[in-house]
Amino acid sequence: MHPDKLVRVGRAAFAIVAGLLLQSTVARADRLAIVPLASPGRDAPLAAADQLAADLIGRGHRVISGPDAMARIVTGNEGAGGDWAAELIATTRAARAALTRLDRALASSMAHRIGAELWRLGGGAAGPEVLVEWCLLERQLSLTASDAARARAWLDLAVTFGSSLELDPLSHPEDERDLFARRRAARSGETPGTLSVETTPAAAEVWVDGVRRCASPCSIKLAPGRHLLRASSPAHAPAAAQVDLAAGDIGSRRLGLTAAYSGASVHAIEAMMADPSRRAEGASALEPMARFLDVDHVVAIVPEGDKTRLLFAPPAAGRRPLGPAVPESALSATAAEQLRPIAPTWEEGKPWYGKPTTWLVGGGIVAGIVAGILIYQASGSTSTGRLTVTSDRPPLP
Amino acid sequence: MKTILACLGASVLIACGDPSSTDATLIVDAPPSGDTSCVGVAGFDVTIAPVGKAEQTAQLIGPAPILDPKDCKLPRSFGIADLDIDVPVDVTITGYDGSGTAARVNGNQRIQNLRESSAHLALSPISSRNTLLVFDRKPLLGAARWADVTSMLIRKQMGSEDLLTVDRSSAGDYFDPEPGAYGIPALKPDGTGIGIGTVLVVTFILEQGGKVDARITIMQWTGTHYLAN
Repeated sequence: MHPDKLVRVGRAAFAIVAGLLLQSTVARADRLAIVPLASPGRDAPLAAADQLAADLIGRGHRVISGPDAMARIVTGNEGAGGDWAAELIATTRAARAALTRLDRALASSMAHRIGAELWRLGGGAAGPEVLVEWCLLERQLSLTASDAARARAWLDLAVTFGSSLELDPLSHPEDERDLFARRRAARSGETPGTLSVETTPAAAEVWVDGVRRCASPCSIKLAPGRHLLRASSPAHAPAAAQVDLAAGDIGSRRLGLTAAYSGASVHAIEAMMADPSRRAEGASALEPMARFLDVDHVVAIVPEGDKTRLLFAPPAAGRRPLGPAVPESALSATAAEQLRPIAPTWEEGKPWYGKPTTWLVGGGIVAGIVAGILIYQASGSTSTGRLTVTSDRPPLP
Repeated sequence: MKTILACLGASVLIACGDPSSTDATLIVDAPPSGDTSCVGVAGFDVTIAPVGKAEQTAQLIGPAPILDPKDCKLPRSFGIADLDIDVPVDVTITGYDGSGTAARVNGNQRIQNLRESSAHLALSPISSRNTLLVFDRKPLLGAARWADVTSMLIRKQMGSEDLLTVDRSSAGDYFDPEPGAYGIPALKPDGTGIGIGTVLVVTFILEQGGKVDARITIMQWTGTHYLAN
């Protein structure tokens, strides 16, 4: 190798080692989630949480903001059972009442919201009644719009969902009940389709049109038409889908379920924080939330008098989970300070040869010595020079 | 992020810094005191030849020829980088008059390695150099431009003998220094033959094909050269 190239290689090796050593000393930016908590008589400080998230992003952290964190925690834990269905049925009846008052716009809006909720939760897990009520509401809306074909389609969908359901005489007029019964009788001879359902993880409960049908993997006979599918498993967020089956069809669906937050609910943590004797417990209860959100720290803020208290779960090395209560204007500076470790506890208890720092520094020293020897040898053997021809004598020393 | 960039920047600066190098200087000494061979030199050819490698040559030409022996030095310095410091280097310097072909001084020196911080090269006279005639050419051109002159012919008035012919193509950059200084074989310092009082005809051939004739008279012997106007 040319001596000059050798010098450059040596310098590059030295520079890389120096760069790695320098970079290893740079603190890594934390991933954080901001969680605003309510306290007795005080709402959760949503605006302060947003401001804190923005400030911490500005300081180089990666932050899940308050609303996003709350949405992820709630997903999979919201009810789709009897209360939910009862609430939707009540809304359906209110929409029918609005239609009776000729307030079609309100009824249509309510029907749209009910439908979106039903699709989102895969028909729920509270029986087919809510689905049938919604379809019949949509049928009524179609009739008021003089759309007979659409009304017939909604009646068919109601029959598909509620093939074994008897309509409540108190809520449905006799002609509607008769129509529903006649249509169901007409379709009773249709060849059912077959739907195979697989889930990840397996052994999830499979609900079709609000009725629990089997544990996955399994096959189900279904009446021809559209069906709402829901799979649920403990500690996982339910998965929802819709399927269209024709008579005699054989279809299959594979659903993936993501893990759901299974720690203490936000309300439970708020209750703990409201009790001074359970504050430490409340702070600890945030740690499963940090694991679920896959962040280094959950930073919770709770109103406390005219100040806001900070909680860190888990706390930075050498810090306490229960941070100070400070004015809102000092939240971001205090949070940044509290996130700074004050003791390298991550290496405590390890022998010297088990500490990464030992190997990093040792490797750096060895590499530096090797690079130094290379540079010394290269510069000591040969190099290039410049020859200047001149008539001007150099100045006397 | 800023810190990481700063680290990388520092690493790059360290890695890309110039390696250590050695500088050597070759000092060109004028001929010994009393020697006037440098007078009339319009410029120098400097050749640097590392042993076993291609040589490099530079022409160091000043705006005017050397007319005083005390001014016998290179118009400027010349240097070559990236020479292997352990390879010998031969340096040759030759001083020419305004014809660019007639040498008046020269010298050469071998530098064994560039670890020696400085060395000397002494210029020596060329024994066969001719007596020098110096005259201002541009006033003789009239309306013509010097840049348009492609060659110049000097001869005696009413004589058939050409004393000197200089082509721009062969003289190169040596053609330009003013006044013109030329070694002319027929001139003798002792005044025998052509000497003071002789009228010469200078013919300038122009690029467009025209020519300009002018007469000059040798007026004075300075001790080192003849002056004409």
